[in-house]
Amino acid sequence: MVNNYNMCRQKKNHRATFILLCIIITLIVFLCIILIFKVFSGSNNKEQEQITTKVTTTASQKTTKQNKENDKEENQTNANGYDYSLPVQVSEAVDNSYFDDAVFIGDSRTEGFMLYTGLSNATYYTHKGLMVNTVFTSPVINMNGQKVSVMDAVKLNSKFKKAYIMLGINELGWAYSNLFVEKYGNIIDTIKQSNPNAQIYIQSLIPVTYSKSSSDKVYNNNKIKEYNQLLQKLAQDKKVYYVNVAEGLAESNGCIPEDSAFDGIHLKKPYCQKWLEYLKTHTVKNN
Amino acid sequence: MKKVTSILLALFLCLFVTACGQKELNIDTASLTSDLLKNVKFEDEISEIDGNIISSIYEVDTTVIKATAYIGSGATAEEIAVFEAPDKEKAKEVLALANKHIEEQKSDFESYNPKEIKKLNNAKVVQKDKYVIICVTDDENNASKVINKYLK
Repeated sequence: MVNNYNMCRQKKNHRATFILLCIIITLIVFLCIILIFKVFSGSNNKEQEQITTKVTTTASQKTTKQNKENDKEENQTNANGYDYSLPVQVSEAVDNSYFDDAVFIGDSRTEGFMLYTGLSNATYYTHKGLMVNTVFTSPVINMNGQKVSVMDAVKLNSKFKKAYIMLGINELGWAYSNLFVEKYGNIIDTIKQSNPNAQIYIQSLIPVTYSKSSSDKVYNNNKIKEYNQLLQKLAQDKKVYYVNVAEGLAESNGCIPEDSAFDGIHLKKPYCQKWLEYLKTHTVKNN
Repeated sequence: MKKVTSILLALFLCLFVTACGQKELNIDTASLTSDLLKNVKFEDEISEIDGNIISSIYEVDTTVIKATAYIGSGATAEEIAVFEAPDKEKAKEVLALANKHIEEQKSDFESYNPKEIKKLNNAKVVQKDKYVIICVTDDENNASKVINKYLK
């Protein structure tokens, strides 16, 4: 009886040990699976992180490279191109010989410029009362003993490299300013056609004195300002240079000094010389 | 004897007059210009012009003809120009060019500023010996006085 009891007890103990072992092994296997999974998932994450970093780095490198290329391109545009919406900026002063191949087209004010600056090396196609329409029609320029219009003279002269235009003071009374712009545009087109390589400078209209401006319905600085805005826009549209001579001669009130012109319009000698100095320090290098 | 004396006197007078006539006129052109600027009234502020520009305005060769010119700002036709040619014949050519210049000015100012036509019509354009003088001003009397003082 005791033996049976002992045998039975021994069998029970064996079974319990077996079950315990099974549980332990299962637990170990389970833990191993978790560990393996963790290890694998960790390495995957790292790989993913690495891949992501790599992709991000490459992308950012690409963006930087592209930005640099864009900057380079922009710089090239600035170096080769020109922003025609802006007036010609200050430049290193040139000497009088710069105007050897220049043509000046203008009215009595430009005649004064010719007389008082002594710049005899330039060519002048000027006439008192000259306007943007009469440049095409009035035979006022003496060419080889024949009188021709300013624009015909321009067509006959293919040697000039720079054209400086100042017209508009005699047109201030015109009813339609768009007609003025249209005719002015025709002048530029004609110069471009006859001499495509010439630099064309539209000079702003020089204001008048305060006493003239405040007493004259036509020749006043409000009207001149309006015309200058139209001229700057025209320069931008036609891709020619706008040189703001007015800024070099006007005082802070936008008028030229009272003692600068006998009639408030036509400049005296020192102011014509000031005008020339402005042109000499506002040039664009030919590309 | 009386007859011989008369003939000799007549001969002497003839020689004297001829000698006087041959006397070359010499003018200090700088002084003349200065006198015109000082004693003649100008509405505009006339200013001195460089030689090369004078050449293109008056169409004279300033390497041969000595020239001084003061011109108005463009508002008026006022001007002074004094030319000294190498000889009387050349001066006559300059006179023709001076008259041509005044005619062109008349044509320009007719439509631009007709008020100036009176000055141009009364412009002093004078030639004596090798000299030619132009003076355009409203103050014609004083201009004449100064010019005559130098040309007499």
